[in-house]
Amino acid sequence: MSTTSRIPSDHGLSARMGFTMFLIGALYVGVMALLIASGISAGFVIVIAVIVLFCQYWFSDKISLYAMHAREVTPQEAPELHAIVDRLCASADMPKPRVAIADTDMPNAFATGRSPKHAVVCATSGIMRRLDADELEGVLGHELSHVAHRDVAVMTFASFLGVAAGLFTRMMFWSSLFGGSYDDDEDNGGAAGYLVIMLVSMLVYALSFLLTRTLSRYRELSADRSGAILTGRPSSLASALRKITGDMARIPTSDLRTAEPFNAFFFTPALANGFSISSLFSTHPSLDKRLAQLDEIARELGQPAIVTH
Amino acid sequence: MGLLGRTKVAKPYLDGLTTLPMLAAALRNAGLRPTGAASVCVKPLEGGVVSGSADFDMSSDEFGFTWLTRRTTSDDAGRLADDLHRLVVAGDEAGFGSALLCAVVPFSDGRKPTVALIYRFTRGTWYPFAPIDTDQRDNVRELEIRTQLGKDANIEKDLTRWAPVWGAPGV
Repeated sequence: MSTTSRIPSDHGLSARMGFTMFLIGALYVGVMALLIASGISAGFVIVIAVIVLFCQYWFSDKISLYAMHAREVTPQEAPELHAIVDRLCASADMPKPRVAIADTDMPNAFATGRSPKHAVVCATSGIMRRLDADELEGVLGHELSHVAHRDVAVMTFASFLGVAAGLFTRMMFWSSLFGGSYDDDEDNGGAAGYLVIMLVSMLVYALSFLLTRTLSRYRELSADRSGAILTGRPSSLASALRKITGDMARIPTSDLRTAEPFNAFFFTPALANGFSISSLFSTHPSLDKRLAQLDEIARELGQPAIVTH
Repeated sequence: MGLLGRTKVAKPYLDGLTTLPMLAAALRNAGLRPTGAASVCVKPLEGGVVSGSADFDMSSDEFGFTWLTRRTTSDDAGRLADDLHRLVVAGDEAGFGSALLCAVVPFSDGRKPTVALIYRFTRGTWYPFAPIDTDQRDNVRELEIRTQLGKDANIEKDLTRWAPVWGAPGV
C-alpha cells in the first residue's frame, strides 16, 4: 500500500481500509482453523486457491487485455494517450506502464499488472471519443494511482479467502456426492458434519465477498483522491465520471449506418483482475460519494467548488 | 430472409412522423426552431433504385446510403411533417418501406450548433442528436432536450439506441 511520495495520505480512509483488511485477516484465521479441524483435504484446497490466485495476480495484465480484446499501442499509434500517460508518470515519479486500447464503444478505462513495472493501462475507444483531453487525464490519473498503490496485489490478497471458501464448498459438495457411500458406519455423522462445514464455507464466502467489495470501494475513493491531486484538477475527473456513468454512458457514439450487431455490452470475466473506472458491480462507490470527495479536494486545493447538477 | 430466420420484413412505422409539430412546439420553449431542412436516409437496396421526388433532392453518402433532402426551407413544423410523411408513404408504396433507415430534422436556436431530432422507422420513435465537431456529441444537451420534449412524446426510451448519424444533411 505504498503511495507515491507526492501524494499525501488520507488518514480516515487509511484507517477504514486498515480495519477492513483486519477483518479479512481475522476471517482467514478462522477458516484455517476450521479447515484444520475438519481435516478434509484442507491443504489441497489451499494449494489450489494459492495457484489460482497466483496465476490471476502474475498474469493479471495478460488476462485483462485478453478479456477486454485490448491491444497495446505505440506512441506513434496513439500519441495523445501516450502524452498524457508520460506527463502523469513524470509528475508522479513512477515508471511508465504499457498503454493499450480496447476497441469498443463502451466508455471505460482500467489499469492492471502485478507491479508498477509490469503494469498496463487501457482505455476504450468509447471513452476517448466521449472525453476531452483534461477529462481523460483525470481518468488516467485515477488508473495510475491504482498502479502506484499496488491495488492488484492488495485485492488479490484480499480475495484469497473468498476463493478458497468457494472452492472448498464446491469440493465438499462433489466429494459428498461421489465419495460418501463406502463408509456406512460413519455416514450419518459424516453427512451432518459435511453440511455444517459447507454452510460455514458459504457464509465465509459471502462475508469475504462483502468485505472485498468494501475494500474495493475504499481503493476507488483513494485512487480518485490521489489521481485528482496528481493532476491538480479534481473537476476534470468529476466531469469525466458524470460523462461515463449513468445515462450519458449508454448513448452510443458509433454511427447508425455502421451499427454493430447488438452486443456492445460485454462483461469482464471475474478472472480479469484489473481496476476499471466504471463497473456493473458494486465494486465502485456511488457517483455522489465520489463527486462529493472530489468537491472537497477542489476546495482543499483552493479551487472553486465543482457545481454538481 | 434466411431458412430459419425471420421470413417477413417488419413493417415500418410511418405515422410517428406526424408527432413532429408537437415536438417542435415543445422545443420552441427552449428557443429551438426547425431550420426547415429535413431529410430521409434510405439503405442501399439490391437491384432497387430510389428516385427523388419534386420536393426532395437525392444524394448518396460514403456509406452507400441514399439521402432524400427537402428542397424548400419553410420552417413550419406542420408542413415539414406533411412533406416527410408524404415522401415515405410514397416510398413504402413503391416497395422501399423496409429500406427506410431514419428521418433527420435539424433545429437551431441561432447560437449553439444545430441539433437534430432523428426518427427511426423500425421503432417509430424519435431521439435527439447534438453533434460537436465531427465525432463528438453533446450528451448533456441531448438529455436536456429529452426532458424538454416531455414523457408523453414517442421518444426512444432505450438510450443505447440513440445512434448518431454523423454528417447528416443540414446538421
